[in-house]
Amino acid sequence: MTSTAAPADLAGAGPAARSSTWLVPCAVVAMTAILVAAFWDFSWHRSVGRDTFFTPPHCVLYFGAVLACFTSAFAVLRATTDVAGVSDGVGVFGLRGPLGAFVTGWGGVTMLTAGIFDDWWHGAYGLDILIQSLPHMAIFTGMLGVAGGGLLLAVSRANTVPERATRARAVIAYMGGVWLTLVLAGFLEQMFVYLMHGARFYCVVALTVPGILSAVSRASRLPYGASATALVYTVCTWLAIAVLPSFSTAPRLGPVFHPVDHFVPPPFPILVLPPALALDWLRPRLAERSLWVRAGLEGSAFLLLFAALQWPFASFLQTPWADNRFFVGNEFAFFQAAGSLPVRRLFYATEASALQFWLGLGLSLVLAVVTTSLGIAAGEWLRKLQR
Amino acid sequence: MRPATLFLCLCASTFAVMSDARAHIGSPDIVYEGSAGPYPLSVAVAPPETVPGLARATLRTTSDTLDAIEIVGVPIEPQDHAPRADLAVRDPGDPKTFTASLWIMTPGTWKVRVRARGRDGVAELAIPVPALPGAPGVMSTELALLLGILAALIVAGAVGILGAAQREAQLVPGAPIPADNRRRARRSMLVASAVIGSVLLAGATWWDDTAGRHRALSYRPTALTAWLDDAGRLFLALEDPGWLARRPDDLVPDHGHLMHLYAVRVPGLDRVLHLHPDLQSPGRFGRDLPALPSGRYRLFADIVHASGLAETLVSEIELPDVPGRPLAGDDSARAVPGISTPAASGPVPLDDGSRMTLEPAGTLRARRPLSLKFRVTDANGAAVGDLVPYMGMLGHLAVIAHDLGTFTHVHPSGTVPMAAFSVAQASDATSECAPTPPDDPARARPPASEVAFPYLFPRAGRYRLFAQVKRAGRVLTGAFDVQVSAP
Repeated sequence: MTSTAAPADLAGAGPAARSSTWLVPCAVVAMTAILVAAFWDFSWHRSVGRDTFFTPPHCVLYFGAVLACFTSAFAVLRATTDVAGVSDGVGVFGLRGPLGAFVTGWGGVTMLTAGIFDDWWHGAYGLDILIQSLPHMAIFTGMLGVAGGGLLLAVSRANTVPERATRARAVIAYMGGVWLTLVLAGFLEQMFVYLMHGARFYCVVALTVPGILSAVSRASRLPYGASATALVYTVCTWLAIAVLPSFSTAPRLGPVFHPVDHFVPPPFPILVLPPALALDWLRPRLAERSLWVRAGLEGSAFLLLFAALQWPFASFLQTPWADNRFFVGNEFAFFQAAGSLPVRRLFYATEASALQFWLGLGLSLVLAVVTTSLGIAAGEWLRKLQR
Repeated sequence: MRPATLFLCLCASTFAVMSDARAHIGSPDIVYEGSAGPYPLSVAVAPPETVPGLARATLRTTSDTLDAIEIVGVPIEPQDHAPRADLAVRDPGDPKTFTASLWIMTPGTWKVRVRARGRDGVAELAIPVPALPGAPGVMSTELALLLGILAALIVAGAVGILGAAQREAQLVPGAPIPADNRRRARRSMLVASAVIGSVLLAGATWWDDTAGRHRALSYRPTALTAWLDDAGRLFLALEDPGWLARRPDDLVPDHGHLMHLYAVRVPGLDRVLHLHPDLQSPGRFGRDLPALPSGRYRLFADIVHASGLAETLVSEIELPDVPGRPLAGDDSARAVPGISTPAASGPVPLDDGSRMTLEPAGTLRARRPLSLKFRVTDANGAAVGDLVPYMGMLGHLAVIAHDLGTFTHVHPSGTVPMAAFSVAQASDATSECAPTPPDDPARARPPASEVAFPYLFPRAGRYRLFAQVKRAGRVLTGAFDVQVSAP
């Protein structure tokens, strides 16, 4: 039987809890650095192309990883060696510290190790321009670890320090939004506009978004937790759209098929905010239902509303009306050939037949329900996080 | 025909030696000596070892008016757009030497576009560079050990953290850990281990798949098969194993011939032939052989595809005594002392009584650009002064390592086949000015007694150099053995 009563104040708390006062801000800085680096590096690949170990976005990424590693290591060492204090934090192979610190540190070590692997990979298989290579996915896993650890730190702080809960919950929504943004960045190659009339796109969204929104909204205890998380994703993405093209650059790799004279921004954010609002509206009204009823209704509502909005919006993004600094419908990488589907504003059928398409949409519905159930369970677990 | 002869002809083994048949064998560096407009330039380019990868260029000039060199790598086909060029870095120890790195991103043929700026204006030069991906690299033991240890720590860390989360994360500080929690934690760690193991297995499969795709892109040379018919005519068949858009019937003439064939008797390298087989049908060539003694002959066939990709195809053939026919056209042949014979120092005699000398004499070093100068003198030691172009060049040089691991066909302009060079010079929308045309063979030259070849020996070892010049309508071949030391 677990006890979830929180200590009254921080002064009597153990070393792990005390370290959360500076660990959480450090985690926010690390996560923000990683997010900035992710947007910048993606743009760098599409605008400049030339990729070395120490490009500016890579340096920002290493900063985030190193900050996560060092602050977590410091917190764990302090908690482990403070034998006179209250035994708090969790134990991992003889070390003690906040759970979030272990996860953040793990994420940082994974990122740096994967970076070494990625450098070797380029020498063995050539310089890559893909997001989804094996070492990139390992780096991506580390990034999610850093972000996830930060989220755990903020959640445990909100759960254990009621006086600071309001600010901590806002931090949870921000970190959840960063987490969502990073996850979607990892699947960007399946989420370009010209793929948005295929079932695969909706499967990817169903696999990622509703689960995260469900977990973060419950963990934050905010009435509009899902909406806040979705808003963070939307604002962060659109800030990248607004800022990046302000800086001029030129491709440094051939062949160049599309002239580029500034940093190419990411695609317009997908419309997760309206279905997130629907989730926030549904959640209290389904609070007494079983897990699978909640997951079924919330997951279905999310996906159906999302599809109803995103499908026509994708068509709009393919028109000349989207060719402006706000919707960035006319922004392409330098390696995008003039005759390619994206440049010609044509959709690509990711399924070979109508049957496969509808089966794919059916699969996306199932995925939305399953991931929502996992998100609900994770959110409930996070609400009880103490260490 | 006597049965024995027929048997030998039929047994004229056609060894398709599937060696590294890039342009030249075992000598990947591109060396070019010419000019960009008014600025003399010597260029050496080391192609990338992997594709995509980095090529490294070294440029030397003798000009005092050259201020800067911009350099960029682009595909050899005319481009509508080009990446921003890099400024070559001037060597602090030698202000007339510049270096640059070039990013070569796709397999095929690329060109290095050199833009020289100075007080005499702007001029461009384009040098073809092959982008031929090799086999995927192998991880060193040290790095594999380091990454293995780190990966083990990361996996153990993930399992331990998941267990800790289940065991204690929801307990208030100071609360004892219930037995239920410990059991749940152990179960979670077991499940996590299985999941992580599956993920690692999937990752290993992905790695294998990537390596397989890279191997599929690895350069595969055009195969060459050779055989002799009973009339003493040599036939050669080209077969493409499938690599990019290359075909065996898309060849372009290189100074007048679709194929330049060097044949040397091995292992002594005591017979050398420089032949120009005729096209019989798409991908098939034939040529009458001159009189030849029996033996095993290594064949090196230089071709250039329409894309500008240059290849040297390799094969071997066991020949009987060939009665042969007189040499025709630009063909040449010579018998020379074998490499096992102690190397003679000083001038070597040529067939017309003149002599040829190699400068510099003495020890040469690998990986160092140099100029191999051959001087022809008459029997009295006076410079002949009457060398004439042989297939548009003042001379041709074949560099063959004694262990046959290197073969390069070099011209006074370097190792770049002229046909590939011409393809690279086609200007496009991204050129600032028309590229410098290749040297015009019809241009009148002052009487010549010597010819120089820019070259870069790829590795230490012993090499035989076959230098060919032409005087009085006769092709003359001199053979030299050199010892090349480590860099």
